[in-house]
Amino acid sequence: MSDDNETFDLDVLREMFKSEAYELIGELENALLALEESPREKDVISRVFRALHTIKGSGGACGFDNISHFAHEVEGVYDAIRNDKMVVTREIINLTLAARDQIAALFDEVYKHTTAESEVTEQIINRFRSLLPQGAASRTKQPAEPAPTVQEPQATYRIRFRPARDIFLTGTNPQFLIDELRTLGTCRVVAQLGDIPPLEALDPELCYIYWDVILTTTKGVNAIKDVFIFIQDTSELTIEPIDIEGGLSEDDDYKKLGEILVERGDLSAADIEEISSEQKRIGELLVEKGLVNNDRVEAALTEQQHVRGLRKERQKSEELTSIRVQSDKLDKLVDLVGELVTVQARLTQVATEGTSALLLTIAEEVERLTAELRDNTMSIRMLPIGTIFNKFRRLVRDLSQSLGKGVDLFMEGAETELDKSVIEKLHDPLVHLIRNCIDHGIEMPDERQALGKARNGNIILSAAHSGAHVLIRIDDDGAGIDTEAIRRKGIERGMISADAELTEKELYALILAPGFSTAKQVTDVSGRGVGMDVVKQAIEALRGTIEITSTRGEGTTIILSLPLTLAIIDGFLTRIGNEHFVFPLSLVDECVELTAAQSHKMGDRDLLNVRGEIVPYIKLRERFAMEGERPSIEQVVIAKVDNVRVGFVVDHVVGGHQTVIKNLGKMYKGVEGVSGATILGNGSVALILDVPRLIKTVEREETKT
Amino acid sequence: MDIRHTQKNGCEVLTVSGSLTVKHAKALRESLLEAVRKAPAVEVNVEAIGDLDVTFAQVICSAHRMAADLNKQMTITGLEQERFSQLLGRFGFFRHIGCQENTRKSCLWLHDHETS
Repeated sequence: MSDDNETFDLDVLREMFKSEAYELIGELENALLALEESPREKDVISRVFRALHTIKGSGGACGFDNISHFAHEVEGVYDAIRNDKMVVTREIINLTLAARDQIAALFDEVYKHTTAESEVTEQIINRFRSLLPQGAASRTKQPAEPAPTVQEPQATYRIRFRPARDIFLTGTNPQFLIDELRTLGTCRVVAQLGDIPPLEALDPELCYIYWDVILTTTKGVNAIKDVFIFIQDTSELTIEPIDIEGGLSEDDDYKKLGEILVERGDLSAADIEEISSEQKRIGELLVEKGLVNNDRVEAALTEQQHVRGLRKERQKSEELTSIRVQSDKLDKLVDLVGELVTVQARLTQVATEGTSALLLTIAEEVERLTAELRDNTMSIRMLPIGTIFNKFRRLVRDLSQSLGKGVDLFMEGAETELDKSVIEKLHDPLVHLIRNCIDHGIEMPDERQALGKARNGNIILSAAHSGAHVLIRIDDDGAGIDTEAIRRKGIERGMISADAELTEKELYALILAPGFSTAKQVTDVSGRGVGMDVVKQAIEALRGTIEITSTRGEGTTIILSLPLTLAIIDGFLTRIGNEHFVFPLSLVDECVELTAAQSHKMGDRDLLNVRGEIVPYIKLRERFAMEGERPSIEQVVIAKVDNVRVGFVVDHVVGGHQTVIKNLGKMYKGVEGVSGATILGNGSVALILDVPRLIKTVEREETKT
Repeated sequence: MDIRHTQKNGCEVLTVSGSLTVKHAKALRESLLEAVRKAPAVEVNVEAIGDLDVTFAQVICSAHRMAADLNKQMTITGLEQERFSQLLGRFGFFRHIGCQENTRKSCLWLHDHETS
């Protein structure tokens, strides 16, 4: 292979390894945090070791020698721990977490073109070395040490084991070695009998047999070498990897028999060339011509059959499991589906307005397929929210330690799925909220004890589906929000008047206002008065809402309500005059006609009697100051928000509509009650209503008057 | 190990019992050498043996080669027992194609199934 090809392969390999590298770092962090809770748990120790070992092995395979070397040094300590030469201490955990951060920085250096400080690597290595007990430092130089039982990528090895002729006389039985090999994985064994002489020349106490073994294992080459460790000086042993899971040059069909024999050194390339022109099975020909004996053909055939079977199985299982796709390709796919949905709406409109029954049938078929394609595409982008929840374990640990507080983090509903783009944008707001919880909410251990609470505070991070939304709750059992302090600060900052009478809800809303902070002292954790404002903006940018409830002395609950997706939703299209408006279908409960007999006013509030139930309603035509004639019969779209039903009066109901959400420009940022826009089939624009916000705005106005 | 020599239709029959391991390989070789030299056909009956190892397979294979060289016939009975077939399969003796000396398709290790 040329140098260019090698560089190319390495680049491809590194790119393929990218996401796995970050997953491994995540796994290492989770395993370390689990180890901190259960420092004696062997399984957890092995989990840390495995993560380090895989970073070392895979990093090395991708040419990241510095990372591989670094991981090896850290792994040394965990090897000593596994072998009961050391115990897990807080210092080791802290140091390994620092090592994990440094490994992440080293990967970032490659993948994100940042700079990692090499002296940090050296400092950490030196500290790890100083922790190792005497004798454990040179672990890799001790051949007698058993191979670590770690999970490596599945690989298949071609092993030729030719024992010393006098092996039986030394008391070693090669059978035991073959049996030991079998414990490492799936084995195919062919005994080579070609050297056995006729009986007159046979010394029955000598061993004339040698073995060709094909072994598929996840234990790595060192585990194989260890099987032969006591006879390695007297026997001939060759071990060659012939198939590695995830390898780049994977040909489903594997090699031809002749190639295998040449690779094994059983046949020369020239012999193969000479024979390949003859129209006969190559194995038979080779034996016929005396170029190779039957046993060796048998071994090569066994290898061929084994690897082909293995690859076929792997291909089958890969087909059934998953593939990695760059996320920008998925984003592009969603964009394209969005465009398709818009074009499909246009097609449907043209078909409906025309007279061709065939066109209408085709349009309906396209509509059905587009809806299916949309749902499938959106589901591909769904990720479990646990992918970011897990990252907060470290945050909680580090923060609570630095503040001298004890905090236990509990997570629920980590499997709840949410659109990838929503999850990505949720990370920073959640960091702010959890920081606030620990900094402002959870009390110091002594204070908690004096209050009759457990010394450690609890934070519960949970997620659950609620219609087309996901609700993310952050509950803590800390001090709760001091409403009096908020009021004082609000007055001090000129945000409210001194005599203003605010509900609890309104007081909590002040926390989310720009520049508001009740922290007595600015810490490096929070209290700069920017966090909650940023959180509010970020959540609103996601078309979500934030709700705060708190009980003094008992704790605080923050609920984020987020849409499942930001790209395409099922909408409910309505019309007022010539303008169209879309309601998120998930909020629509029912539609009724507005009749004079059923509607009445109570103060400024319009109310509608729906089968005996009084439902307040909002006249959208008035709210949006739209001129023009009202139709004789108006329609009320009744939406349900937080279990409260509110009606919205429109001229006409058009019906269901696949809504590709387009953001409104910055110019419309301040417009309340509209969350975006969509393009209709005829090319006109319809506004997407922000129903919860509309309700809140009207409620606020009614309270003021 | 005990080896009993009998004749059956001109065929030398060796009935072996006990263990057939490295300790007994020399004795087995001597008996087989004598039988192959003496008779046009040799049958080895291992139905009653308790234990065997690769030295046994090696001696048997060697004897078969000698018989083939001398254009004599050699067969083995009793190896079809599962305990033996499992063991021989495990150590890679079974073959789809016999060795060069297998001109009469008489290879002792020709076998249909594989052990992995």
